[in-house]
Amino acid sequence: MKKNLWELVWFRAYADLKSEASRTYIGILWWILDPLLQMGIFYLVFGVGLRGTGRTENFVQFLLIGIIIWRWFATSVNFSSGAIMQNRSLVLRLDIDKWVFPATLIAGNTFKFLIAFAMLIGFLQYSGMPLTWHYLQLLPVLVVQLVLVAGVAFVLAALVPLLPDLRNVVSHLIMLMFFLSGIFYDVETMPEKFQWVFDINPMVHVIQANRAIMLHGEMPDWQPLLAVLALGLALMWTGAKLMRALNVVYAKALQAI
Amino acid sequence: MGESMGELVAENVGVRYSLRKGMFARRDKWALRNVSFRIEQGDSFAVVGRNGSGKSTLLRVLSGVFRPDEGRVVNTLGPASLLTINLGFVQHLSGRENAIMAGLLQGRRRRDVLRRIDDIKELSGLGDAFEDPIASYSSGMTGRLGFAASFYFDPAVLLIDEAFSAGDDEFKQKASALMTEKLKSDDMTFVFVSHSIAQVRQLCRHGIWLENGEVAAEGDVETITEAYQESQKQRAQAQREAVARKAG
Repeated sequence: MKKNLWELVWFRAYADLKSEASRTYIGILWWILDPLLQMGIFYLVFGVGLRGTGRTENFVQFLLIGIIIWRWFATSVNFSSGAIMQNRSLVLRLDIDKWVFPATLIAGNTFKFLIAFAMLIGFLQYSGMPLTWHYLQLLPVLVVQLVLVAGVAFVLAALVPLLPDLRNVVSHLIMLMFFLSGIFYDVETMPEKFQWVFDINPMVHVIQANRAIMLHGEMPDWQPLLAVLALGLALMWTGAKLMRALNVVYAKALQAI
Repeated sequence: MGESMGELVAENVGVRYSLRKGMFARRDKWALRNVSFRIEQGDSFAVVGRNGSGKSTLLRVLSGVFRPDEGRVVNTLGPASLLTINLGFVQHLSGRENAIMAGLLQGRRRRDVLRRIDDIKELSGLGDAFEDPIASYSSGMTGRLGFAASFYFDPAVLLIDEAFSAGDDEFKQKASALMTEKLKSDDMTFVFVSHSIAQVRQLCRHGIWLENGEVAAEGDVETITEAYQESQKQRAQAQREAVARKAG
């Protein structure tokens, strides 16, 4: 049964991606073009000096790593919080495990992220950033982030159908977190009294680990990453438990809307 | 598997909806109340009733989508699932891909679906169009694909909501013949919900008539459909009189 559900997740993710590609003329080329254009714009604005380059060295590269990593988190979490409601007709007709719906969205989003991430690495190498053996540690760093994304997404996906108002709160919280994740500034340059805010923000650690490897050719700091991994696993477990416990409650909640 | 006789029993089943009225106010409404019946293996069981009488809610309880708030359902037959024509279809996918999706949604493994895919193509009668996106299909073609895609995946209890009216006459005949053949089998049990009295009489032996979420009549299909039709006539008559009074 479990195996069937994973097959369903992959196939629905494939279906979503194919639908998305079919809606435009150049289709899948957009998955390459989108990150390219995004990088181009940031290069134009911050790289060639249209707007001051900031105090951070290699600011464009610094910024792009933050933004591309952040987008994976924010879009997955944002979409997933509406995942069960979005599949209302299926929920009302099939007795199906609900984690399938956020998992499908995360799978599709992760695929698009990986394309953007590959383009980012290409750009970083082109612009002379170091290529070291530490790059091999990118894989576990990405796994940690995937677990975090899935954890937050599962918990929100589980709660939003019963508390639809939560979704409005979530978009503001994501915005707040964006500004507190050190995406366009280096958290280490911030005043000491605010450091605790960054310490408890898991995305700060994920973004810093990526920058350590790709910008400085250094080993990432694994201690906070392991804490992020533990947090992600705990959230995933909680979300999956919630979805299981509420499995038959969702249909009724969606029926009444 | 004919030797192990199971059954599907509903005992005083009640389902309550909580309707939102304003910011914090809620009102409870019973969609089903005190519904009891027994269906034996291989039976085909009819549920008739007007719109809003609780038919669909009953199917949701039997398929496990809802859990009863009162009473219980005991099912020793095996998995019950709704015949879900076109459910989860994606417009940009081909007929073949949508057929795979339908199988996966019904809990099948991908390789089982792929083994059956040529039969599904054959039954759908879509020919080369099977490889085209279903966005290019007529509603009849989509219906044929939907029927073909759900036909091959047999649960122990098949719940059917409303008639399958898709496709041209030839397809309808083919579909109807296949359904009748399935209905004859002793292994599979059917619960059939419909407005169409003729269809119910043709396909079912026993059943219930639901009215406002309660069982208004039960027994053999002739008895319950006659009682239902009689009440429909009386209702229509009462409506005509009401209109006449207003006009007068």
